[in-house]
Amino acid sequence: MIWMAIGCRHKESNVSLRERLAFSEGQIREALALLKERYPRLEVVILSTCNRVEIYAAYEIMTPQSTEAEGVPQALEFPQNAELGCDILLDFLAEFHQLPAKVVRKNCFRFTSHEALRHLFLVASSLDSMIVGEAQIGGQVRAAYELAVECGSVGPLLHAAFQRAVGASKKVAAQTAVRQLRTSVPSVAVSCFAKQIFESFEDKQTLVIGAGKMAEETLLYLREEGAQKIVVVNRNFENARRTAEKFGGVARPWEELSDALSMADLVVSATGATLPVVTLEAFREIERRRDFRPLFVLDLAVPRDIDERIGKIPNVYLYTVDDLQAVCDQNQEVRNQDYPKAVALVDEQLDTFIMDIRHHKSGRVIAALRQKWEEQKRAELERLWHKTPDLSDEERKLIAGAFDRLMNKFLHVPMDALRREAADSPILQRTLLDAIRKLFHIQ
Amino acid sequence: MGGRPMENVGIVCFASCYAIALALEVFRLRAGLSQSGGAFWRTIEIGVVGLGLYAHSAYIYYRAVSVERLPLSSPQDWLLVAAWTLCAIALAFVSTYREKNLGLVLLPPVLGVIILASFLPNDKIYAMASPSRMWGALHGGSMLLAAVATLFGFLAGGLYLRQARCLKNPRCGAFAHGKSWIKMPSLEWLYNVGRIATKFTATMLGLGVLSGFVLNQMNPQNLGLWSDWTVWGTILLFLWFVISLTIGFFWRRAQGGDLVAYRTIASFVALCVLFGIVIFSEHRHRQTWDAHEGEKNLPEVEYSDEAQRPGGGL
Repeated sequence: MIWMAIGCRHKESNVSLRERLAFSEGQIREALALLKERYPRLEVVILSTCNRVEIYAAYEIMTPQSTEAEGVPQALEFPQNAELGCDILLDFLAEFHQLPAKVVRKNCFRFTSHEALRHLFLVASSLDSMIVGEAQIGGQVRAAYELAVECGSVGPLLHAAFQRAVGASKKVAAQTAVRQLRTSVPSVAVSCFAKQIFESFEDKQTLVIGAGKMAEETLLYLREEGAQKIVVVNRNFENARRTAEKFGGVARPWEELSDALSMADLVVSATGATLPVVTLEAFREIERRRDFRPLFVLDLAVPRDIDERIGKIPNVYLYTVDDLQAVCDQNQEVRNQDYPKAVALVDEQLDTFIMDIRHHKSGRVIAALRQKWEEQKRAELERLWHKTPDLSDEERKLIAGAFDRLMNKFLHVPMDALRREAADSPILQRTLLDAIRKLFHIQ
Repeated sequence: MGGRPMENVGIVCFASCYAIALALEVFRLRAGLSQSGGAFWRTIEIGVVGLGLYAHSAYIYYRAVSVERLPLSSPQDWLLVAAWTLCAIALAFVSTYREKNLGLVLLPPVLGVIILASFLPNDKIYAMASPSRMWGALHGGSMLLAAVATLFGFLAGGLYLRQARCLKNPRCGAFAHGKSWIKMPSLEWLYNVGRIATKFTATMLGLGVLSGFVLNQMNPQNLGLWSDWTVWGTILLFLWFVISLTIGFFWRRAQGGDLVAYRTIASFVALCVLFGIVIFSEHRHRQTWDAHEGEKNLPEVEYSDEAQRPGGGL
């Protein structure tokens, strides 16, 4: 079998090339269909994210007779050379996006065999990401695999590889700190602080003051944690309405900011104001109306939106970007410390996967051999019963048992050799399997 | 230590289980175990606590059978029953909130109460001079539950203040230690536990005071407990809870998480003072113990009505 992985990522290419090589979902479907048409037996998965565009491919080497038996013309056979296969895939990538093949080949990586599988496992475990341990890539790999399954471009090889890769990523997440700690300001704010203040977010009111990417990212995390009551306040009511609609919330005019604050349990502020929009004096008036309930305030604005003295009031927990960035940096350091352990875990999982494939291969051959001998044994025994009709059932059983033991003794040596070579030498194992197939005429 | 040697072996047995469970909790944290590895040791820890609780229950049952009288009211027995109650609630919490390190907070007080109990006598049984055992059980039981709830409130309050301080200072590192991060409940959870504990304690204290009053009235010997410091201490503690709940009802600021936490700590301190008085000072309750030291059979009580004569045994 041949394994290939080609593509571009942050390590080899710049953003502009990655943007030009990126696939939309529709384009992925189109590309997979094209590849399936050209090479029916080639298994392909395309992964396209903002930081990488990759094609994973696998191919089972078969004899010309077998291929013909499956009804696949020789012309549509993929080359039985992994390097050549990578060239074909890179050229396809260039052709699909109408880019010069030379540029694509120069700026893309190519991995074959063990390296290709290792790359897949590392990517799925977010160990190849710009930010090690980032949470999105696992889901993106799964989504790419599922889309390829839907398009019918995944066969037994990539099924096994992707499922194992996802399994390895789960082990890395469970057994190392690489994915346990958050490293983005909004995710740290919600998971490390807001969740330590409130037990649940379903009955809590979230107030967003202003707008912005980080504010929306924070809202996303809050929604994931169950936050449902969202109020957006902005000097521009139209912007507030748009943001509120996006998150299933309610927009309120700027004049109602005090009221909204008095009812809020969580506040995310990200205006472009140069002076604080919530002063200490204004907050003191609101405090009484709030019944002194705990208040989580995330001030994402620079300069600050919330008077820092408000953070000193009991039951008010005020965080700025600087406060949380320090925590993010600490978390990233811990993640990085666990990186070697995570990679070792991935390598261990990969070795197990490869061993299983080899055992599976030899298992199929041994099963085919056993079946062939079983048929011949039955034929011989039938001939014997025919010639010796006077044998009792007991005697027939004894003779059949002797035939079984003889067959097992003959099979034991080759099976043992194959098992040993699967562990020590895959090349010799392949040679032995080919020899057995040829000697005993097994497909 | 008070009590017979075999009883001490029993105490060591279940106390060891709790100590092992606490050691497992610390081990899990220090080892920075992954989710799956941590879950395995968490299950072992819960099993060990359960085993300890079983041994603890067997011990209490043995004691009840051997003294042939309920409720168990010697200082040691009372504290061991309190420890049992505390541990049962701790087990429920640890099993429910498996991802939190609640064992670190709940198991040390259990061990502390057991250690304290082992230094107290158990051969001095509180004399049930009253013909009605039910009121005595209600009195002892409600005081016991009030004490346990006060302790819970104290733990929740202390933890609340610690969490609040760390949350006020995000750079303290309490939430970013990665593997060795101690996962504690949220402020909201701690606040709710503290409030519920306060209300429950007030209710139990009220019941305890009331049943104590009824017991005293029903006691033909009329022990004259109104001059007893423990009685007044309990009444004052009850009034403290009632007043603080009333203030909290009318003054919203008093319902703030920090003030609730401070109140639970103050209540616990008051309880410790009261407990000290009960154990170490000369008072009417204690005099009745001395009067009936080692006796299982109570003095004959004259009944005005045959119907009031109680049945024998347990």
